[in-house]
Amino acid sequence: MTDPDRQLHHKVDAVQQLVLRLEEGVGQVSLQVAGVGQRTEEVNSQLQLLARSFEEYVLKAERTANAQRAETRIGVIEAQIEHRFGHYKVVRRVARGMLQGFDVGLVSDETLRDVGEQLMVETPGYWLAPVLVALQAWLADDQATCERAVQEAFHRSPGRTSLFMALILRRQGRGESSLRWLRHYLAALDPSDLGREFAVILESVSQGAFGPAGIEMVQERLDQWRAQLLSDPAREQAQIQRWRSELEKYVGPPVADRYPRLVAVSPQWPQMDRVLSRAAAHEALINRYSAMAVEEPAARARIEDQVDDILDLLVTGFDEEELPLSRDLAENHAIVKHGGDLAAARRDLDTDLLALDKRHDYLTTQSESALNPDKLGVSRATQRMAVSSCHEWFAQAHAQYSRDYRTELPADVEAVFESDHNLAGVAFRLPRWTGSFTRPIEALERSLAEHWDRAGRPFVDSLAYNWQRNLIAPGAVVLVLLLCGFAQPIMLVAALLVGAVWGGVLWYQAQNQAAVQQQARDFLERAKVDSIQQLRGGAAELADWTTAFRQADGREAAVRAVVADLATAGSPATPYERRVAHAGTRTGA
Amino acid sequence: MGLDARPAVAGQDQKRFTPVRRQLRKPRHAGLVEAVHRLDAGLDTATRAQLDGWIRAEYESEFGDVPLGMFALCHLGPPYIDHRLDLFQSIVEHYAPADPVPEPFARARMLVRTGAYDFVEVYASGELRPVLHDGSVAA
Repeated sequence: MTDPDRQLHHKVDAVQQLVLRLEEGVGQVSLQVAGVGQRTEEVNSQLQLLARSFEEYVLKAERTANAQRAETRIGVIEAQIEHRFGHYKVVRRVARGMLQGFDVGLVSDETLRDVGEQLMVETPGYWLAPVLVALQAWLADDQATCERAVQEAFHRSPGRTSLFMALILRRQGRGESSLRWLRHYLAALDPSDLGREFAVILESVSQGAFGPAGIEMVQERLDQWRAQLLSDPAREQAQIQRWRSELEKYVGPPVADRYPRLVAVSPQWPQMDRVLSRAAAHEALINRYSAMAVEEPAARARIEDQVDDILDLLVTGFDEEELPLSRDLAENHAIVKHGGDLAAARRDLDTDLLALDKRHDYLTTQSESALNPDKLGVSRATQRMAVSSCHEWFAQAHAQYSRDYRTELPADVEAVFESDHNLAGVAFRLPRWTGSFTRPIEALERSLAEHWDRAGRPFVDSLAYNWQRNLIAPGAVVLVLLLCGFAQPIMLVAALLVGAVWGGVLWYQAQNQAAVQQQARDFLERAKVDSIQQLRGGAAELADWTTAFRQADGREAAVRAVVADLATAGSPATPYERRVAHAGTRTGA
Repeated sequence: MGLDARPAVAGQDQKRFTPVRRQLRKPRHAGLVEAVHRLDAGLDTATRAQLDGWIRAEYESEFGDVPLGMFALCHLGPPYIDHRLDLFQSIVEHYAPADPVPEPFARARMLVRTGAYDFVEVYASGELRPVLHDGSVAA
């Protein structure tokens, strides 16, 4: 070999080394690029995670602040109530003490008179103070003072004074006079505009406090009002709407975590989730109301205690001056109860605050006694009676509720697959595939597998090494060298060497590309198997969902049965129903 | 804190509800339910038209509103699963699961499939009033 030949050989060798190193470098760079791409994706998902947890944190902090603010407000409002109305408590306590003094006769007239007169001075404008004076005067047989005091009390609050007197007289066994006050009270009422204290009448009816004659009188009046109010369809519709919003409270929680595959594959999932959690309300309603339908409310042993409870309710629960503060208090309690979630608190309050309104029509008083007994202060027995009176609205609201969620049932549940993948820097998109679960699962699986194959094959093929394109350049160079070889034979050797080196490089590249292609093929195969498993899992979960829905939805008939039971359960059949109120038979049933 | 965002009720909404709402909620009597069932039983054209007429008159006088027709489960067997009884065009149309049902009847389809209702009354307004097996109705 001549010198120039050797030199050329060395240089070609060096070029070959360089090309190989370059090739390696390019390979490394492409690996690094892929690595960077992967890391970018990781960083991206971590960022998303961070953003989500930050949002959660902000929400949580906001709610905590809301709840704390509400707690502080509760303290302030309670102090305000105590400050402004705290002295009423003394009057209320004294009223009860005075009645017990009546019973046992251990307190002297003077003490009672002093206390009554003192409270009269201390609580100007409060209706209960003159009532105490009247009670004391009655005990001392001072008719003139008694009448004047009653007149003053009646002037301050006609409704409550009438009710109080009716109950006191009933308590003392003066049936006739008691009924006169009661008649007086009822006659002055407008059924479309009742005060909150009217709940006491419902309470008295359910407890049989006015005796058979009283119950009959009240019941007659109530039936008359009911018919009168129901002739206005808007009023009835308002009650049905009220019960409907009550039913919404029984909607179950979302069930997505029980059906993860269905959530992932089916676009109908949101509807299915809604429908199933709404159907869950039936069971919750049965739990809530079936106990009420069968229970027998316990009555107090002595009618004095019974009436005292009602009197307590009358004097403590219905003073309108306190209502704005009570509403404020209820709002803040709701915020604390919902952990600072203002939207949830508002949803609760929209219906609950109705019970704290000053005036209601008779139908609303009934619905509120049934749905919000705590806010009206009425007993379980009264609630039961009220639910019974409202059974038609309850049934109708329930029928509409069931109809509405059933209409939302998806007619066809589908599975959809559509995804983007990144294979070593090359993007692959699986076009949309939709299949209805009404088709047999085997057919669906086959169709999905074919879809993957159809979409994957051209992609894998596109990754094949392109010999044609990559051969153009070395071919041309070698050809030129060969042509030159005719003039200078050394070029022939050069052509041979360049051809061999370049050929080696191309072969190396082709091997790499074949490996990439195989990787892609494996990846797509795995993805296909995953998809098919997800589809199969989705079908199994759909079967579970259908069973769960059928079961929950099937309880609708049982709710109707409970409502029908309640319709007959709530009549005021108490131990006092048959008791006749006259001196000597005041106690015991 | 102004959380009380309740809409005013009673009285104001009066215009939205027709005065016959209470009448509409009356349970459908057994005779009517039976007549609706008979519509499905392969009647000749004249008898069907007569029965349609009777049902329409009954709805008019008893409940004050006449539905376009009814939608119910079909007992003919496969491939049919449900059918539409049109009171005005005097037709009975049976549908297989894949058949499209014309509006507004289509929305009643899932209601009858729950099996909870005897049939569903479909009104021109698009309102659906499902009738339970005991004749009571959600209106």
